Amino acid sequence: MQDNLDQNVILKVEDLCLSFGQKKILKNVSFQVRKGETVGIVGETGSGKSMTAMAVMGLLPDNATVSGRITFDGRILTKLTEKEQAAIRGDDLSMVFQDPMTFLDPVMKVGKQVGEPLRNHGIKDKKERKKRVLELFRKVSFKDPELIYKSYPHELSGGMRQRALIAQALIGDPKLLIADEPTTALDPKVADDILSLIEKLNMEHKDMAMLFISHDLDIIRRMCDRVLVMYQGELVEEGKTRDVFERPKEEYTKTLVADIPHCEELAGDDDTVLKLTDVSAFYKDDSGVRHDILENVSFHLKENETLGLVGESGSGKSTLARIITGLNKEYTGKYETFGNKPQMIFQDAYSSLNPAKTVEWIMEIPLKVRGIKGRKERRQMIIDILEKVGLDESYLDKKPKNLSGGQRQRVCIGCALCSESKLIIADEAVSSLDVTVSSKILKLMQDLQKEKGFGILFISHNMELVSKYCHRVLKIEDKTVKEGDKYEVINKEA
Amino acid sequence: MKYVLKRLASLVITLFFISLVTFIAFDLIPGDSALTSLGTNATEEQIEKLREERGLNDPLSQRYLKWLSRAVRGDFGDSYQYKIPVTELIGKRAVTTLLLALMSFIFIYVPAIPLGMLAAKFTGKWQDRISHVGSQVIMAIPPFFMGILLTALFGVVLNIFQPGNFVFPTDDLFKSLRYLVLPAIAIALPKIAMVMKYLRNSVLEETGKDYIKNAVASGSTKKTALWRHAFKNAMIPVITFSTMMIGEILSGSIVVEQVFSVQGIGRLMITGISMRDYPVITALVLYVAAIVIIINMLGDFAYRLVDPRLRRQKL
Repeated sequence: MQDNLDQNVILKVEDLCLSFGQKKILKNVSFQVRKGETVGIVGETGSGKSMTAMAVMGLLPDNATVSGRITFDGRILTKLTEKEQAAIRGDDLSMVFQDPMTFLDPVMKVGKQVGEPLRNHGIKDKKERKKRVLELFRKVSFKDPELIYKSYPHELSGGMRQRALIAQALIGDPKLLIADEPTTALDPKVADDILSLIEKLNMEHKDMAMLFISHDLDIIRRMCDRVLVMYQGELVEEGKTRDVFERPKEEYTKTLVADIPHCEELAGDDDTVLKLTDVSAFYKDDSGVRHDILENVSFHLKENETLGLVGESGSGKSTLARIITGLNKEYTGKYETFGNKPQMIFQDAYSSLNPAKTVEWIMEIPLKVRGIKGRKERRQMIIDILEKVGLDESYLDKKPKNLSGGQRQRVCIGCALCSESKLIIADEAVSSLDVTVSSKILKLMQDLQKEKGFGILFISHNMELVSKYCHRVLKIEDKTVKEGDKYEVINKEA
Repeated sequence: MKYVLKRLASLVITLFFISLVTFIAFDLIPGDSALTSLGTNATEEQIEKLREERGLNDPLSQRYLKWLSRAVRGDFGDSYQYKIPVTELIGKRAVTTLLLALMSFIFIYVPAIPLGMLAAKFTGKWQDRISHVGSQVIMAIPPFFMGILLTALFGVVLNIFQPGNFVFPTDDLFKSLRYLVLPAIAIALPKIAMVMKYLRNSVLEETGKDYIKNAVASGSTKKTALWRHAFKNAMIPVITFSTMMIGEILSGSIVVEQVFSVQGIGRLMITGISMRDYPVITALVLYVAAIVIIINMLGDFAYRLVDPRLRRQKL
């Protein structure tokens, strides 16, 4: 067995199959990772990329049925006992997870926690562990390692926690590091810092191989030498990153790398649908002190126009959206909307749809608000709109939990259409969707806009998306918005 | 420190209102303490004389103010039935109940925590199922019946203590302990099952969380992940449950005290109410209220000890 193994291969996955009961998650997945190499796995939610990582780590749930063979550093992982696997995990093989908010034990100090892999692997001396942890903390560019050491997870920001988790993953000098969407839950700027950090560490640890999992093609392009494309539990394409992205062979990969729809030229003599004059938003803390979130924001939006609104999380994007839709009363200044009440499309379509009700019930509300009395009439209108958003009559009786993320977002768009509003506010509406689904939703919104002529206030943190999709871009910075040439706004950011 | 003062102030205010409500309540419910004390054979004059002596003929407001002015100096009057100061009467029994509670506490947590963790570790396996059935059975047995069983076994068959007798801990601590062990077990048994189930479910909820995944990915064995990470987090809801439970035990387990003839708060409460022994009842109600408030306060401290996220929060 050992003989035919390439000396340079650190991880070899052969015919990996995985299922939960009847549900097949992975189908004959085979690939290799060589020493010092960074291999990306790209695919949509549910494509099996995270499950592949979990299988390698031996972290699959108990009810999973696995077959196939995983060889790591000359040892067949699938044949080791729980104890033997634990001896490898956190030492030669480690992992950085997606959401740094939940992957740290909330009641254990960060320093102690980062030192846990050392403790698990037999380093009993506390001082020695601390020394090593502080060393790693400096490596991941913490300004005050001693302070971080003493902190609890909730006292750190998302980016800091992810740094701590990276330090924890690196503390055992792993031969293979698995990073599963390590920046997806972070702010764009923080995410960029973390990626730079991983790049730097990757350079420093020449022998360390990396398996980098992401749904974000740009990140894969930036980080990986080779890429594996997964679709519905199968490995559909594999090759050098540039080759795969520039000359995709498989049909699926082609749709995956397809572009974001561009906006079209505006005629220019449309009516205004939204006008803000000197709007300031604030909140009052427990002791009643007023804190400003936004100061003197003024802008307008016309029919047929898509206006991008960018800014870091916490900058007040969503607050502004809430003011315009009337959900937030704590503001001064004036805003005017024309036509029916503006409609909002939220990022998380699942929690913004009443889980106990059917699609018909949900979509009926805006029609009732508009005063359409006849039940049959309403039903017909809903069916028409469902068809417009790419669904059909059969969805009337479905509940949100039985819909996919993309379908839910279509229902939300449908609701917006039901109200015949002249203004739609899309708050990170496609951020949690996969690339292919997201481009379909964007196209749908564009087509409907052409037909109905509504204006879209498009809130997003994705600069690239906004620059292509929107006519104009506003950026929230220092509590106020700056309008300007969209390329200028975005390039300054970069 | 500021927090403690704030809580103490609210404690005093609460007690004040409770005493007022107690006075009004006992004025409203029917029953005559003089009549109960003297029995039905007493003459009208005798009863009237006793009523006058006890000041029961005064208007409610006057009685309350009189009581209050003495109470703030620590004098709660004399018990009608025992003819000794209420403070002395309750003090002795409170020590008994406290000791009983402390013992039950040990009997609850010493077995419940490891059992709960084991049940969590072996979820769905036979160990878990046995503990599940076992705890159902134990919880289903009413404490008085458990008391009778224990008394019969240890008192009558094994002769470890004399049923029906009791020694106060303030008189002879060591002898008293012998009388308190069984009632403590009778109180503890159903609660062991509850705490165990609570902890098991709470641990299971924690083990599904991401930080456990990370701990395992860092080379922790399942056992380490369970004890070093899940346990402390899982204790948070158990503390909530415990504060409620401890308050209940300290207020006196009426049934268990009755079955084991323990002279504790619970028994005093029953006789006090049936004899219309107002000074005793009022003081007892205040005692129970104070205990519940203080236990909740300690519970808050325990939360902060376990969960660092709460420490910075405004108190």
